Amino acid sequence: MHTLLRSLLFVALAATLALANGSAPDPYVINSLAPASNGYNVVNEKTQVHPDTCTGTKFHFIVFGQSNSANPLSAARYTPSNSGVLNFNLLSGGLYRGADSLLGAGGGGGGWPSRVADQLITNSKANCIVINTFGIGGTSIAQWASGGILNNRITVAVQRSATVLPITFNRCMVLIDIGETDNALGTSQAAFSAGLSSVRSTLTSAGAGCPIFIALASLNSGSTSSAVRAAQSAEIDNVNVFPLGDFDTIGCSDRVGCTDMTASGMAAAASIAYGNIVSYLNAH
Amino acid sequence: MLFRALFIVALSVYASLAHADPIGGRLSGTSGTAVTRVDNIGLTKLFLVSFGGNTTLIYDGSALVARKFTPNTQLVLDTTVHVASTNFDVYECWSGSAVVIGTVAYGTATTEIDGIWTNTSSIALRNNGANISYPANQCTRRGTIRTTGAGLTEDSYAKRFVSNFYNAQLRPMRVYANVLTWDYGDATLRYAHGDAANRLAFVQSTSGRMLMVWVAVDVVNSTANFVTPMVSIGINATNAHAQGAVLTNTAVSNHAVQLRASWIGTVGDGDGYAAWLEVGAGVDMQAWYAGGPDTGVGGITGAIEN
Repeated sequence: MHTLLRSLLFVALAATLALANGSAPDPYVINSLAPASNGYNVVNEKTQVHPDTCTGTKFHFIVFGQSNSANPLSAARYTPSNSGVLNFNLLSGGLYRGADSLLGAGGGGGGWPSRVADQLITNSKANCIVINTFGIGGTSIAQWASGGILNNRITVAVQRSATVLPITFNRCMVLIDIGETDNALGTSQAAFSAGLSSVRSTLTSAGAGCPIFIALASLNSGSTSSAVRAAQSAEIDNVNVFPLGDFDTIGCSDRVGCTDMTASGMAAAASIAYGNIVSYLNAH
Repeated sequence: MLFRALFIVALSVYASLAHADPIGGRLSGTSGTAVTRVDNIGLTKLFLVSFGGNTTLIYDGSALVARKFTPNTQLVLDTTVHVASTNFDVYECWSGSAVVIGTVAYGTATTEIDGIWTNTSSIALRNNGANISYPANQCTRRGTIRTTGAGLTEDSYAKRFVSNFYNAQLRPMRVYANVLTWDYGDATLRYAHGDAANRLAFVQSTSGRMLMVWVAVDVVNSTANFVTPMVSIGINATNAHAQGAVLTNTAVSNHAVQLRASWIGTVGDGDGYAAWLEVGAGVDMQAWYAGGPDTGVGGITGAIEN
């Protein structure tokens, strides 16, 4: 405890002194989720890379939502075979070789984003894909909406990557996978739609003028939510918002507790997402 | 009592830093923010940010002249010259129309002119892959940086690799172990958990800056015997306790005891580190518990003027 108190004292003194001399607040401070983790941040097990290594056709994936987008422990870690899969860490601004658990997202397991990126590069749709992922397990759409504790993660992730990565991306895509907690909470279609709308406004305000891909995802403990799925479907206009795929079709045999996906479930989700992204690429 | 003494030390540091430097501005990894709060890892460029104003002093061949720099003037690193794990000095010069910044080799000779440190000989300033030459004495020392990878630097809780010659601030530092617990009983000093990541690393643009370090960890012996493992701090060394370190020498049995170490002193210029060290009792086996972020159990924390 003494160590903590001392550290706090010096941080407070340093901050006071800095403010007294006119330092603007740090724009990259994210809301603390303590005691929950702010995101996986074990950089010592990662390989840092220079942004100049990202060459050729370059994609930027902005990925968030809840557990199935956020390294759930239910899924074994996946290591992409392509070195072009990279991972931007909103917690530090660093760029690393992409491998589960992806830095910035909540859990310590695996997921579908690294698999999708790997497939896209393997099939020559891109040469470099930077995954900017910051989802947190067990969260609701209201927490991501304006006023929610997770809302500024969107702003920080978008603005920090735009500022510190000297990479001109050929395409960016926002991939959203959320709905299981709202199923459990009984969130109405109207409330979920309002949350999605607010999230889209935050993305726009932050400067992410990217097409958005939304998963149909609500399966929690074996049941789906028609309200959540209806809200997700309604958001898809195939102009600005596109389908990421129906993740609820991935059954309980590919999930733990019929909610969080296993590695086989993540592979299935990746295949579904890959198909929808390729359809978009072919049409745009 | 100890806490009160530390508070007084902190206040004295605060007071010493609060004086007005003759030159405004700080090097920072974030445009517009002179003193950042979050980790900045993988920085490909730095910014000269206003701090206490945006006026600097640059010698023009006959006298020091006050020059205003454009806030957030950029220093862009490149992978050719700014190779990995290397220190570079940072200077600012007057181009005739603007203040520009860039790097030169670390340790480039300096000459004091009316209290301002300038380049003794002509220098070739490196920025964004290009060199521009400036005459002797007509650039002002701004700081020192250290690269991590080629073309990359870092200003984080674990690595304070951006050092400001002027307007140094007290910057917090900390590192937690990557694992919650491990066993070690040898009577030989080593990095905690044998992991070289368990250290606070820094670079300094000038000597005499203050560094404060604390280590705390829980230890349990494998038997009911009382033994005396220790945690320690090494300054630029992993095989010796830092001179002046305050170490606990508490006997440990088969119940958890917190061992602590602290060190306060000044460090030289260039790169350095404060290592979180441990030495086992040489008998039985000791289990070490570091906990990790937010658990409050253990790790290495500190603060450095930078």
